[in-house]
Formats: sequence, structure tokens, C-alpha cells
Amino acid sequence: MKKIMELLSYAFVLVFAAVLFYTSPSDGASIAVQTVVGPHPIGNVAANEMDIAWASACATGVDSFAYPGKCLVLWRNANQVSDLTAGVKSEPDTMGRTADFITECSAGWDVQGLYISNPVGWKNATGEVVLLSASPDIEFMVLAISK
Amino acid sequence: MNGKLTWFEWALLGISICLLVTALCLVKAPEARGAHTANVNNVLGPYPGEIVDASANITIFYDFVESVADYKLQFACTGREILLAYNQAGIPMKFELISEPNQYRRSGNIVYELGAYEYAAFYYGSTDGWVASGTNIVNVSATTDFIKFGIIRLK
Repeated sequence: MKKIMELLSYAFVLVFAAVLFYTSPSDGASIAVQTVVGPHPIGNVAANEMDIAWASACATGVDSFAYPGKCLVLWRNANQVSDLTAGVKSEPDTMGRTADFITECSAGWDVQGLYISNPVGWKNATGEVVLLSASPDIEFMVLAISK
Repeated sequence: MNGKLTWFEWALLGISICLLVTALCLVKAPEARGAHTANVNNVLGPYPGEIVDASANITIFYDFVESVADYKLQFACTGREILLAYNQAGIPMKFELISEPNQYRRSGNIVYELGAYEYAAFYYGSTDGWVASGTNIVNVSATTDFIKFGIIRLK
């Protein structure tokens, strides 16, 4: 009986660890990186080729995207009543930067952004940039810049 | 003939004044339909200093004056600008990126149909083929004021 209890305890710890791993906020939801057409598209621009879209932040308040090179990150507040905070998580760099880039977005579609032309201090060890948000009412858009 | 105007003469005078005012308005109208100059948003990054309120704000949408018949917009281009467009209408609407001839013989404007409530982006990563000769001005236009534009300049 004692052996069974031990096995059950181990199993419980393993399951708990797995749940923690898969629900860890550091993973976050993935925000799609969108490529911007230009400056000299070859041939005609096809239907929908220039379309871009906003993506809602996840409920955990932590999203991420794979750093594609130079990119423009935009966020806006879809909440029509409350101001909300959002921004980009900083990573330690050789310059000693540690502060996240967090701004307050006014209610009613206020748009803010950050141009990440250098990954140092923004891209983490797994190659991702982490986005932080106070609510799913925050919407993100990541635009990869070709050059 | 006694120096006083008859009702008919008063009416004729009134109609004449109305016609004169209308003609003046028509003459002035082409000036009012000129292209509007958009404010360009300088986006922060990659290492902004201390953030103060609203320092990261971006005004995305330029509203055309409602009475303007030609929905034209222009902005100073350095070859580092992103144009955002939004269709505020419930049906597809078109906008046009005006091209300028260059050494590669590019001369085709980009006419783009934007779906209802959708967004589009274009990267002016070069002035070549986009700015008018001898200027740094880029021109865009829309078929309706339901199309809203915003310009973001990258460092």
C-alpha cells in the first residue's frame, strides 16, 4: 500500500509539473508576423496581398513572436472605456538594460508602437520577442520590414 | 423708371447675386480639392529612453475633410515609411499608390481594393519610383473618405 501511495505521489508531481509547463505564461500565445509589401513589388499586387490584421492578446497577458529581423510592433486598446497598459518585454543585454517597454494605451483604439531594428535587448534566448498586455482587449500587430 | 426697383427687378438682382456666388464657389473649389499633407508619425525604437505618457502614440488615421471631392493625400518620404490604410466602410473600397517613372521604367500605379473594415500596409522602403521628380513627396489617393491613411516613419 505504501508503495502504491509513493507511485501515486510521483505521478501527481509529474502531472502537476506537466500542467505547469504547458500553462506557463512565459510561453504565451504566438502572434503572427506579417510581411509588408514594398517598396518595389514585382508585377501587380495581388488581391489581399497587402492585407494585414490585428491579433488579440491572450488572457495570460504574455504573447510572443519569433523575431524575424527588423520589425514594427504595434498595439492598440480595443477597450472603449478603460486605459490599458501593453508593451514589449526587455531582455538583459550588454548595456545593462532591463526595463520593459510598457506604455499606457488610452481607451478607444489608441495605437502605440515600437520599432525593433536591433534584436539585442529584445530577443530572448529562444529567439522570441515577448509581448506584455494587461488585458485581451489589447491587440497586437507585428510587421516584418524587408530592409 | 422712378428710381425704385420693381419686384421683378429685385428678383432678377437676387438671382444674379446667387449665380455670382455660385460661380465664385466653383472657381475656388479646385484649390480646396488639392492633396492634403499627412502628419508623419516617428515611431520610437529600438532603444527609447525614458518613456513619457503618449511618447509612443501613433496617429494612424488621417481624416479627409468631409467636403473634399478628391481624396488625395501626400507626405514627405525619406524611404523609411510605412503606409497603413483602413477601410471604414462596410463594403470594399479602393485606394491608389501613385507611382513615378524611374530608371527602371516603373510607371504603374498600385490600385488596391480593401475589404470591409480591413487594414493594408505598404512599405515605402525606397523613394525611387514613388517620389515626384525634384521633390520628396509621395502621393496616394482613395475613391472615398471611408479609406483612412496613416504614415509611420522608421528610424
